[in-house]
Amino acid sequence: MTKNSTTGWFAVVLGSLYLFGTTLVPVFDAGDQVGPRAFPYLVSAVVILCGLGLIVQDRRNAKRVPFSWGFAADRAIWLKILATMAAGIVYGLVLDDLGYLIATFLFMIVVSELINVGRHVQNLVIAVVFSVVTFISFALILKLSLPRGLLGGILPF
Amino acid sequence: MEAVLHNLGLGLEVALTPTNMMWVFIGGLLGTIIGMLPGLGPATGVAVLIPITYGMNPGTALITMAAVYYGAMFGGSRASIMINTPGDASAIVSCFDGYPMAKKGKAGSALAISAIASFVGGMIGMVCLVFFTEPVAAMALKFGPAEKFSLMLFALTATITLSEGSILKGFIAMGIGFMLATIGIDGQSGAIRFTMGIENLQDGIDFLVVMIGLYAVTEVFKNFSAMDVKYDIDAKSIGRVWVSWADFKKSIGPMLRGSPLGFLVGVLPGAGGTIATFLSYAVEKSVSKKPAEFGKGAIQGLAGPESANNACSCGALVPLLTLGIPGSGTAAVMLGALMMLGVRPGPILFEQHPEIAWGVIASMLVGNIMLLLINLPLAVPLVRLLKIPQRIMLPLILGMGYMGTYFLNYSSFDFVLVSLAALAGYMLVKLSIPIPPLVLALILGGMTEQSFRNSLTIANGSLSIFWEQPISLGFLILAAISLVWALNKQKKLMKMPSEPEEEAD
Repeated sequence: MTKNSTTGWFAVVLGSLYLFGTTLVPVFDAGDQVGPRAFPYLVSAVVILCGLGLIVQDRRNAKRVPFSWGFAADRAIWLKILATMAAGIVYGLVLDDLGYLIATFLFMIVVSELINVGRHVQNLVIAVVFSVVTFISFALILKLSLPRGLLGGILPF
Repeated sequence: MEAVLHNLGLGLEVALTPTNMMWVFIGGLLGTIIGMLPGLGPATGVAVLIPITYGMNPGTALITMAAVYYGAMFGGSRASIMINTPGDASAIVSCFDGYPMAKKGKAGSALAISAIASFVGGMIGMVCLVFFTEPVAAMALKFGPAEKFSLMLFALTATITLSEGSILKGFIAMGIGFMLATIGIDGQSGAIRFTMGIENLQDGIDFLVVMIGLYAVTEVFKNFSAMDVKYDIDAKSIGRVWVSWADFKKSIGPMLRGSPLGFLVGVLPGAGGTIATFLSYAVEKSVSKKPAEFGKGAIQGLAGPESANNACSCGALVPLLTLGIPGSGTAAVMLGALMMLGVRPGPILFEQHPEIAWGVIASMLVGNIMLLLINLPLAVPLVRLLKIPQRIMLPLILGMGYMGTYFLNYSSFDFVLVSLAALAGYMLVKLSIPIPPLVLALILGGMTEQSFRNSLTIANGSLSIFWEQPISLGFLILAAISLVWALNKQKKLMKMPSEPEEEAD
C-alpha cells in the first residue's frame, strides 16, 4: 500500500466508526430542531468521501511507492516514543501522591536517559535543575498550587 | 486617525507598564532562542511556554505570547545563516542567500541585516495592524450565524488549500479536528456524544492538551531521529555584527516591498511565513537587475523575506484579534491559551477589553525595538546556543509540555490524552496529513457547529440562508475560489514527471 492509499483507508475506517457513533447519539425533543446528529453526519460524509477520493486517485497513479511505518527499520525510535508516552502517563498517575518535585525528577531522569543515552551525570543535573527551577518558578513565584506529596512535611514552604 | 492615535495611546499605557515590558523582553528572548533551534518553531515555543502565562492577567498573557511569536521570527534565520539549517519552515528562504553570505565571510552582515529587516517588517506590520483591525472588527460585529459559519468555512478551506500537500488530506485533517471537537455533552441539546462511556470525556477534549501534544511532544518525537547531529559553528569568524551603508541601501527596497506583502499574506487564514518568505524572494529576484546573484549571497534575497516573515506574524494577528479565527498554527495555540484565561478574541474584544487588544498591538512597538537591541549586540552569544545538543534540549521540552498539561486541569487523565495526541500527531506526519487544519477545526468546531445549527433554525431548516445573505455568499465564493485555485495547482503538479504529491509532502 502507498502512503495515499493507507491514508485513504484510514479515513474511510475512521469516518465509518464516527458515522456509527453518530447513530448512537440520543435525540431529544428539546433543543434546536437540527439536533445533535446533523453536523457529525456531515463530518463523517466529508471524511469518508475524501478517503475514497484518495484511494481512487492513488489507483490512477502510475508510480506507486510502497509506504512503511518503519516499525522494523526505525524500531529504536518507535520504542523511544512508546517509552516516552508510558513515562508521561505514569508521571500523571503518581504526581499527586509523590508530589511535584519527586515525580518531575523521576520523569525527567527517565526521559533524559531515553534521549541522552549513557550520560548519567548530565541527566541527573538536568532532572534536578528542571524540577527545582520549575517548582520555584511556578509554586513560589507564580503561586500555582502544586502537590507537595511525600515531601509535604519536609519542605519549609 | 484621531481615534487610532487615541487607541494606540491607550495601548501604550498598558504596554509600557514595567511588568508588561519585562514579559515582552522575556517572551521575545525565549522566542528568539526557540525559533533559532532547528526543528522548533513559534508554535512549539508558545505551546511549551503556556504554563508561564497561567498566573498572568489575559492582557499580559497575550503580550507575552505575541512576543514569543515574533521573537521566534527574529530567531528563525540565525540557524539558516550559520549552519544552513532553518529554525522553522519560514526560515528556509533565509538559507538561500544567508548561508552563502556567511561562507563568504559576511556572517556578521547577514545576521545584522536579518535583525534589521525583521525589525522593519515588524514595525511596518504593526502600523498596518493598527489601521486594519478596527474596521475589520466593526464589520465583524454585524455578522449573524450564517455569516459566521461561511466565514469559518472559508478560513478552514483557505487553511487547507494554502498548506502544503494534498487537499483531500487537508479535508481529512479538518474532519478529524471536527470529530474531536464534537466529543462531550452537546451544548444545544444536552445529548452526550462520542464519549465511549469515559466520564472524563463528558466535558469535551481540552484542545490545549491536544495542542501541547501536537506542537510540543510530537515535535520531540520527530527530532528523535536527528539527535546526534553536531553543528560546526565558529562564533569567532562572524566578525562585527553590523551592516555597511552600501549593503543597507541595497536592502531598503526589499524591506519596503517585503513588509506589506508579508502582512497581507499573514492576514489570509492558513497562509503563513513560509508562503510570505517565498513570495518576497520571488519578487526580489524578479525586480533585481542582477538575478544571477541570488542564491550566491545577495543581501536583497535575505532582507526581503526576513521583513516579510515578521510582517506576516503581525498580519496573522488580524483574524485572531478581530474575528477570533487564528491565521496560523501559532495563533491557534495563542487563541487556546487566551480562552483558558477567560478571554475570547473577536470583534467584541475591542469593545469590552480595548486595553487587551490595543495593549498587545502597542507592545509590538516596544517588543520590536527590544528585539533589535537584543539581536544586534547579542548575535554572537545567541548563535553559540546552537551548540547545545538536541539530546539536552528535547527532555526539557518534554518536561515543559507535560508540566503545562498538568497545570491546565490538574488531571492525570490529561497525561493520557497528551501522550495519545502526540503519538497521533507523529502518525499523521508520517502519513503527510497536515496538522494546521486539524487544530483549526478542533478550535472552531464548537462555534462552527453552533452557527450552522442556529442558521438552519432561523431559516426553518433551509440551507438557502447561506447564499441568500450577501456577506455569507461572499465568503462561500471566496472558499470556492481558493478550492478551485488549489485544485488547478495540484493538477499542474500531477502532470509533472516526478511524483509530485510525495514531494510536496
